[in-house]
Amino acid sequence: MKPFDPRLVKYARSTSLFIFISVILGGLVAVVTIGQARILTQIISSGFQTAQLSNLILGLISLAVFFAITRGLLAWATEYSATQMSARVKRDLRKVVMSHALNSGPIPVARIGSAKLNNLLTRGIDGLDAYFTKYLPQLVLAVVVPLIIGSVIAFNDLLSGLIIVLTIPLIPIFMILVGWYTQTQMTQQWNALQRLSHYFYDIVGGFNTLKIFRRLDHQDREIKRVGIQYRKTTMQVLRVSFLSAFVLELLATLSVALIAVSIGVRLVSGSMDLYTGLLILLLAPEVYLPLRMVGTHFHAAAEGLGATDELFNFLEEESETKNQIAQFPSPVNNLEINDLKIELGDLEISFPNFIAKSGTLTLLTGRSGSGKSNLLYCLFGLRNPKTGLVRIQDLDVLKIKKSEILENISWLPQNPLLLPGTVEENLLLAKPAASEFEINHALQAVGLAEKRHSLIRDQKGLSTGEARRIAFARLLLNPKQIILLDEPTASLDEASSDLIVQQIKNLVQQGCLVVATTHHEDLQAIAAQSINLENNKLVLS
Amino acid sequence: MNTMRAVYRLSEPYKSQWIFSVIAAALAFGSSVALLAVSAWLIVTASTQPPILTLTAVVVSVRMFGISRAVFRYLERLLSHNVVFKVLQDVRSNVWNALKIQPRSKIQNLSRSDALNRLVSDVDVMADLWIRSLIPWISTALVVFLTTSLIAFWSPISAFVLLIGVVIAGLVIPLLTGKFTKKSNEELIPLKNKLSDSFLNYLDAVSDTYALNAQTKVLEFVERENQELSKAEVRRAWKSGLGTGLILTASGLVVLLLAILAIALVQSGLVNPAFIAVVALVPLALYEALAAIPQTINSWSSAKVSSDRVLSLRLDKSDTSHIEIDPFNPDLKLINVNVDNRLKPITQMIPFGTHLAIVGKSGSGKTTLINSILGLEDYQGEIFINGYEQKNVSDNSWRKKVAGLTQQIHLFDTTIRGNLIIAQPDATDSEIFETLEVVELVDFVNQLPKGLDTYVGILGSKLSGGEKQRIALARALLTKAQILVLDEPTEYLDKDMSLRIANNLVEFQAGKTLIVSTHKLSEAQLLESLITL
Repeated sequence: MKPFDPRLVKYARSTSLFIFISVILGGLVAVVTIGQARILTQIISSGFQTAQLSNLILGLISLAVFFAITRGLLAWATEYSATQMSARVKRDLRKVVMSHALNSGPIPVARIGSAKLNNLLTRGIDGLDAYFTKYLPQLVLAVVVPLIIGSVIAFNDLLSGLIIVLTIPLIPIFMILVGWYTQTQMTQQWNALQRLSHYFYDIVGGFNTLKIFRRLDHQDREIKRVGIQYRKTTMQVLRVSFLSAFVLELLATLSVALIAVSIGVRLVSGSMDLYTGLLILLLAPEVYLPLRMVGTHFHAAAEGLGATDELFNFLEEESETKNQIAQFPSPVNNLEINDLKIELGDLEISFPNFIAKSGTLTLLTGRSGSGKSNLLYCLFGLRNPKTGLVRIQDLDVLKIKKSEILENISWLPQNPLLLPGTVEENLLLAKPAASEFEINHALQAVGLAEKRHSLIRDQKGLSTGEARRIAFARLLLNPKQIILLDEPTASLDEASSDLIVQQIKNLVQQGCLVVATTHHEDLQAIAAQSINLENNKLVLS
Repeated sequence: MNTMRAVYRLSEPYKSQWIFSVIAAALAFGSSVALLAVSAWLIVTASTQPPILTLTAVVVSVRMFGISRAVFRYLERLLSHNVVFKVLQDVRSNVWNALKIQPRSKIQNLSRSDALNRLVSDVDVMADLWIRSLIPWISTALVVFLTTSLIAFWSPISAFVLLIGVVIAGLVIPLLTGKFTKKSNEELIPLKNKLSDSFLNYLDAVSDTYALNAQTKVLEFVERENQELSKAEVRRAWKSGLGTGLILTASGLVVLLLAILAIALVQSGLVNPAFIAVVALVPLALYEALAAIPQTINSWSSAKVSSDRVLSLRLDKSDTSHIEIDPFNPDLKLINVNVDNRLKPITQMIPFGTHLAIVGKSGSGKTTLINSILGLEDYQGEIFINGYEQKNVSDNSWRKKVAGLTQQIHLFDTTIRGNLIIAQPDATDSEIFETLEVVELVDFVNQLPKGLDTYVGILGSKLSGGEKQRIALARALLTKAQILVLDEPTEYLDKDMSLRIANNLVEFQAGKTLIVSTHKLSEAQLLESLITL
């Protein structure tokens, strides 16, 4: 994983401001570190000469106290600004992703899964806190501090400066080499590791199944066997990845040791004074420390980066449909599915051909997972099929403008949108100019006339059935010539289900072209055709 | 404290490996302290310009500590990870054994919520208890102890000051600020949950939002909560970083104090001048480790939450009976079985060989009744086989008689064959195909390039809903149980196929007991008797 994803700046502008602040703070940290080292050196080296000491000491001590406090303040300020920035970046990201998710429609969200997306947007990007407060400032320090402190050392002693200039580049070079070497090792092990780590999830998830077939005890040995295998494989991977930390550490300490010994030798020969020697000895580790720390914090940061990486990929996924310019045909008499196949991961789903006509009801049957919802996506022009066409009055639905589709097709998905507010306000989403009479009429049709002014808060306090009836009432407020219904009677009691069935019949009689996924028997009775979508899957891989 | 005890109990079998890990960690840390001390001593002594030969040993030890630090760090990482994986494996075995003896109701509750899955990831997080908390703590304490003792050898008062400084920076400050930041993080949780709830709501309704063109409206609502959380986080930001800042300030002050103290000691002729450099620089090396302490406290407390969940599975054994059931012609008898207080109790004789349909709408208690007969759920009333009540006989012997299919099917991430033979480990191919015939999967399996050895994917993801259902059904049939209990066996299947399979089932289980719950009347009518819930 890259240590810094430039897309962070692209989607969350606050990031660049933060990097600027970090560089300033990092520079100050370097200056204070040098100050502290100077004073400490001065105190120690003057400790050998009594006369010098008493003159200097008060001023030095107060300066040292000042630096100690400033150093603490700088560390606090870094983390403070980082936490603030992290909060802003997370806010910006959440906004961008939600807006993308809502505007690009259900397909991208369905592909990633709403629960997973939600998890990435909340717990996932909380991992950015560690990235911003620990990792990124450290990354900045790793650039700024060696530069500043390194030049101070070189200014005081050219030889030590030279050692640093020669050894510092070795660190990234070795890191890259080790990275290359481990990359192949890692990928080789990765799949094995995935399956092994999944094993315990699998058997715990299938606990009842194993119980029924008396196989619980059998797993005891299996858990041990898989555990040992998992440990061995993981250790192989870890051995290699710890190696990079080892190389880093070895380089850093050996460089410091090299400097220390070279200073020692020169002190003995008298070509260097104690003050310079001590100062360099104190500063030299500070040059390597930030570089080493970058690695330490990477683990914590990786989680947040992983989440943002997935979110960025989500944001940058190309839309399946484009170049939609055609007007909606009018009038509409038929909707035709021809040779339609779609690809879902490594599955291919093919749909039977059919023609739905105005003033008739077409039912799609089959269980969840049989592709019903995906077929509705195709009918709504959201999904680009692998082969075949959806034609509305001989016009490929993919060619029709998005706004035209929204104006001419009503679509009732399984999960209704309910916003905080009254039921009436929620109905108005479908037709902002609806009259009081129209609203009452629509609510009456689904048996919810008395709920008109009820408040909806957080979608709680409403049963699923009521929520779905409100959504249906919303559809009745402004029915289009083509109507797509996804399980319109699911989770309804018998009485309300009858009401909805009656309304569907009315819509058909009014000449609407209705396509519904349902097994409802009363609807079966009036349907012009019933299309079965089972057994249409093909495993491609 | 409970966590500590559990950690001790789990670590005990690998005591020596843990000790080696801690020693390696301490040696690594000790090397870096020694490196700085020896370097300081070298430089100060060198400045008095002694004959260079007297310094050789010091020069060598500088290099040695440089290398040993890296080597021991590497060793420590390998050792500790290796042993922590062993411990986690034990935890997994413990969790598994604990699950096996949990009351049924607990298992049902766990699997209904996502708690079972969470349990598995909690086990992984527990590694932090050792790797990121205990080992750094113990090794740091060891090195601090050794260093201060060594310094005390020259100057007890310097050692005392150093110790106080370390305790303040490494213990007092992290504990105080840790509590402080933890509280302020907890205050954010309700806001985070609220935002997460509404995100999920709106993401689930993304189709409807799109169809209604209501994106702007929805975003307005989401943005309000988003801003609310972000503002709360910004308001609390000043609290984070307090610990790090205070530790750095404290360490700077202690180093200063020690240096002044050392000078005073040197000037009064009590110690060797090189001591000043050593005593002033050693704390610098110590503080490098202390700066990491706030992080380790965070790791501990979040890992503790996970480990508490894992350890909350009680390990005490529930009473299990060892009574075996009479093997011949099991007659099943339900007496006043009540799975849900809202429903009326069921009494039903099901003599061996009966084919019974249980019909009812969803929510009528079919699934709980089936699960009770299968011995997966608690019930009131009595369920007998030939006079043996389920609660009084051993689980295994009950399940030798009664097998079946639950509503929640689970396919394991292995081959089709692997999934089937769970029911009957020594099943032959012909037996397997016999059951596949009943569920009409023979053609499907034969057309697969790898046939029975095709992997089905995680949770059967490579199969359609119907195929998964039928494989799970075939698996139940493979047990050849005398009492077969099936919950909605033809779920996910189209009308024609489900009727054919229902017919096949009746034929397959002829002469033995078959209990099927269904909401399809046409299939129920194939069975000779019927109860309606």
